[in-house]
Order: sequence, then structure tokens, then C-alpha cells
Amino acid sequence: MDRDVPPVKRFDWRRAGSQARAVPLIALLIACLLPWRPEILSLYNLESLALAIALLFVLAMGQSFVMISGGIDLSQPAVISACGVAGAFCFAAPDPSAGAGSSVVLGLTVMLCTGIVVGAAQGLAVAYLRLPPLLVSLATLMVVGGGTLWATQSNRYELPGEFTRIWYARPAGVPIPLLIVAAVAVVAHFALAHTLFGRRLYAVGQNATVARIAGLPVERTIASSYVVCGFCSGLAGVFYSARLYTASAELVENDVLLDCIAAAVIGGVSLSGGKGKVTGVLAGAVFVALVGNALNLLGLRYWHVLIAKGTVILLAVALDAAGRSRRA
Amino acid sequence: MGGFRALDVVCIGWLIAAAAGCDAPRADRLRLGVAFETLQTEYWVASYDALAAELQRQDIEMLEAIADNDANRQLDQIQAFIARGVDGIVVSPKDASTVIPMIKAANRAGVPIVIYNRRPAPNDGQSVTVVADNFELTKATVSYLAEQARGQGKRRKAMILIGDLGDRNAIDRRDGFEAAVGEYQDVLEVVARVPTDWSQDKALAGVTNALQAHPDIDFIFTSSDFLLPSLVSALKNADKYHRTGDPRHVLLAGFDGDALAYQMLVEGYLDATGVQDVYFECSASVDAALRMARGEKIPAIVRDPGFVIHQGNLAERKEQMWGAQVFAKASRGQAASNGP
Repeated sequence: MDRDVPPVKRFDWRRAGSQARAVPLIALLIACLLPWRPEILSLYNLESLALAIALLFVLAMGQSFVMISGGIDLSQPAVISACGVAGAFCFAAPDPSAGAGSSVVLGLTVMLCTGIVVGAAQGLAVAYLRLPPLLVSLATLMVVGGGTLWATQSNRYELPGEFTRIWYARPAGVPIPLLIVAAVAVVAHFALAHTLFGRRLYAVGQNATVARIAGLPVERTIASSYVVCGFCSGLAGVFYSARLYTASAELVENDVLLDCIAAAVIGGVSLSGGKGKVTGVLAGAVFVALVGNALNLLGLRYWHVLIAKGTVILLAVALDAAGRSRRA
Repeated sequence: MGGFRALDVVCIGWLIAAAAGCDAPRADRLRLGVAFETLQTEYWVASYDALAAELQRQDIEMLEAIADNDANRQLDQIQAFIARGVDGIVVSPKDASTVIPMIKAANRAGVPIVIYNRRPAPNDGQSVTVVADNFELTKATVSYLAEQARGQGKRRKAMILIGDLGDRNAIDRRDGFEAAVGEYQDVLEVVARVPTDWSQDKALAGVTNALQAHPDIDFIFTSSDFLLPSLVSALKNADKYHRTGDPRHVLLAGFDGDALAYQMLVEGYLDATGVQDVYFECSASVDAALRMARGEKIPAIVRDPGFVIHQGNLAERKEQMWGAQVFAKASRGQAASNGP
């Protein structure tokens, strides 16, 4: 079976550079902005920026697994909110015999499991029922979003301090989310670059028909990518709800998707599947988060941010398409 | 590679253009960050304009940010204010809970923070809230309307349009309504409580359904004048939109005091509204931020008592009604654009 999939290649800096389009852009952005807003490199801003990157990276990483397999997951905003709310329900009705710590562990577990379950359901629909990923995830966005609204009746749930410490605690001066996200990045890199699952994922994304003929478990691979994405959405749900001390059906707005897909695409993940690396996604997340941070520091209005990000993602997609047609 | 350059040029050109559009700060001027959740309704626009005018009057630089209903984005904007070293922050938050991390972020950075018009949930952060006395003002408004009902000697079927219950203001207004109704049970029976989540669509659907289920509703309070267009539309469809004096007139009251409420008062469709004093709230917010920056101790809540405006006192109090000023300004603008 191993002979049917591409072998693991040694690290190719030129190839990595072409996938991580964001790296030169990041340097140029900072260089351009520094004279206008020197505070971009202040310690306070760098910490805010690092946390924004961590949040975006988790989401973009999950999205990238799905995109590499040739799919897309538009349900992330609804899943993030649903995970936050599912956890909040655990905090709202804690077991009186247990301490606050066990309630936090339970809440965290429920949040992550909610993401995994929704991801698995989407994966089954896309892989085994052969439904189009766009429609499946769009329908999931509506069903999960509506279900969360129904479950909460539009109420917001304030979360306990024991839980929000996940976002705000600084052991040895380092924010916990950065440690968690670093671990996620290492695991994701290992999974994509050094495991059979990773090689199958690229093979399925490049050409599912050929992969099927070669005897690869295409359905299982595609479904697994959605499970990974669901887990990442669950983790983002933990971070977002801890950050805002709140869980609700409107925890994040749908335009978080724009940031997430932009980060993946700018980081070199192909919308047509089969291509993408963790380093690229990280660079993409840094770039998109930096643009948002820069525009906030410039004091520009929200719609300027949207226009800028929309323009950048459009150009990145155009570049992606142009690159593919050149190779063809 | 050619594509690379195109992308670079667009991004950098855009940033340079954006940066060029920003004013260079004057070192001797105080700087206040003003973060609004939305400018979706007339009330927030009027508040924003009043704050800008007050800051200009006091020669204070204003950094602005609109979050477009996204609490995450608003927290990012507050952090950007802090990174830019503002002397104080005035924030109009999305709800009572999501403002807590903003308060704590400002506290950690030692920046005074004033919460405009929405009371935060109980927390251990340091902030000052400038807010209308929603409970008392609603109670007074609904009591005025109930007195009209009692005066007409007719038992009425009542309906309330409730706001987003994640917003403390909506809860206080609902409670103010219930408290007033409790004192007038001889003339009022509440038959419909319509949740709107501060959404015109939900308000229209909810009121339409309520009027179908209870066609005899003839006493309505809306928790915000911002919902009046939906309410009027549903009343017109049910043939229940008539001026005062008409026997089919539905007793109608609101809260905020916006331009449409003023127009409806003048035309005789609206009986009363609880007016929030935008100008007082804005000057009190700026004053609170400056006093906190000087290290003065001030109460955690500064209350705007507001006032009830109705058919009986419209002429004498319209000058204090912000909606009347907005209406007059819009009318002048329209007259100017029509030309001689």
C-alpha cells in the first residue's frame, strides 16, 4: 500500500517559499507600517497579535486539512459558537459533589467533542454520501447555527474564571493558548509530513479517482479531515469563549471564515486540494492577523478592513489559479 | 513571480494610502478612544455625533472604532487603543458580558474606561457606566400611558416588544413595564410579550403574529423607538394605526426619543416615549474619563434620569429631545437640497 502513495520528500526551501507567499508580504507590511505606527512592535501589541495569530492559525489549520483533501468547511463559525455553548451548559449545571476543576475539564471535553461530532457528521456526508462539501458545510452552518440559537434562546452565558484562565493565564509569562497552538502545529506538521494519513490526504486531494484506483481508503481519509477540522473548531470555541468570558450563539461572526480561508490560501493551501503545509498556513495566519492588527492601529473603520482582506484573498485565489494553469 | 509583485503592490499601496489618511497626533492633546458596537440605529449615530462634538469642544483627539456587532472585533479595537496609548476609553458594548474582558484589558494597562449606555454584568474590574435609568424611565412612560387608559375608562389588552435579554437595558425596560402594569391591573391585561432581540425583522414577525392571535390588543409599549417602523407596519396591516382621538387609536409608547418618535408624536400616532438625554450621557462620559485619568474617584454608575415626553408636554420639552433635533436637522437638509 505504501508504494502507491508519494514518498515523503526532504524539506525543499524553494518549494516551501513558493507555498508560503505570505513571508515576504509580512516583512513588507511591517516595514511599511513601522514609520506610521511604531507601537506595532510594542510588547503589548505583540502579545495581542500573537494571540490573534494563534486563534486564526487553529481555525486555518483545521480548514487546511479539509482543503488539502479537496473539500471546504464553511460551518466553522457556527461550530465554534455551538462548542462554546455546549461547554457553557456544563458550567451552568455543575455536579455539586465535584470541584470547579472537574467542571472545567468536563466543559472542555464537551466543547472539543462537539466539534469532533459535527466534523464527523460532515465527513460522513461528504465522503460516504458523496454530497458536495460546499452544500454540506453551508447546510451545517445553518443547522448548527439555528440549533444553537434554539438551545440558548438568544441568551448569553457568562463563563467561570476557572475556565477563562485558559486564555488569560500566563505561566512563566507565556500565554497558555500559544503553548497549546504550538503543540497543535507540531502535531499537524508531523501528521501531514510524516504519516501515512498525511500522504493519503495529499494523494486524495490531488486526484481522488486515481487514489481510489490505487486502493487508498479515500472515504475514510476525507472523513478524517473533517474530524480534524471539527476538533480545531472546538479548540477555537474554547479560546473564543474564554477570551470573551461568554458563550452564545453569536460568539463569532461569519466573516471569521474570510480570515481563515484567506490565511490558508495565502499560506499556499490550494483550493483545488492536494497542496499545503503547516509552515505556510502559519505564515498566512500571521499575515492576515497582521493586516487586521495594522488596520486597527491605523484607526480605520471596519469596512476598510473588509475591503482590504477581501482584495487580498481575491488576489491570492487568482494567483493560485494562475499558478495551476501554468503548471498544466 | 509577477503575480507576487502585483499582490505586494496592492497591499502596500493600500496601507500607505490608509496611513496617509490618518492624522498625525499632536503630542500636547489628550486622546480618547471611542469604540461603538454599531451605528445601526439613529440613537447610536446621535450618540456618536454628540461624543465627537463634545470631544472637539474640549480639544481632545478622538480615535474611533466601530465593531459592527462583533464583540471579538471590539476587544481587538480596545487593545489597539491601549497599544496606541490613549488617555481614556469610552465604549458602547454589544452586551453586558463581553465588555468584561475589555474592562479588564483597560485596567491591566491602567487606562480609564467608561461604559456608555449599557451596564456591564457584575465583575471585579474598575469602570464607570453612564446609563439611563431604564427601569424608572420605562415605568414612568408606561404609567403615563396606563393613566390615559384609566382616564378613558376602558380595560385594555397590552403588548410589549422586548429587546435582547443579553442587554441589561432590555431587561430593565421589561421590568419597568411589568412594574407599571402591576400597578394598573384594573385597566391592563398583558396578552403578548414579543421577543425581538433588537431585530426589526423579528419585531415585525412577532407583532404580526401577536395581532393575529389577539386582534383586540390596544395598548403597546416598544422597548426601543428603533422598532417603531416594524410596529407601525404591522399595525397598518391590521388596520390599527390611527391618530389619537380616533376611537380605533391604539395607545402607543416607546423608549429612546428618536426622530421617528418625535414625528409620530407631532402627527398624533404616538402617545409618549421615554427620552434618553444623549447630550447629558455623552458629556458625562467624557467628564468621567477625564476625571478618572486625573485619578479622581467617581461613582461606578452615573445615571441619566431622562424624561417622559408626551402629547401634553411636547411643545415645552421638544428642545431637550435629541430626536427632535435630528428631525429638525434632517428637515433643514431636505429643504436645502430641494432648493428655492
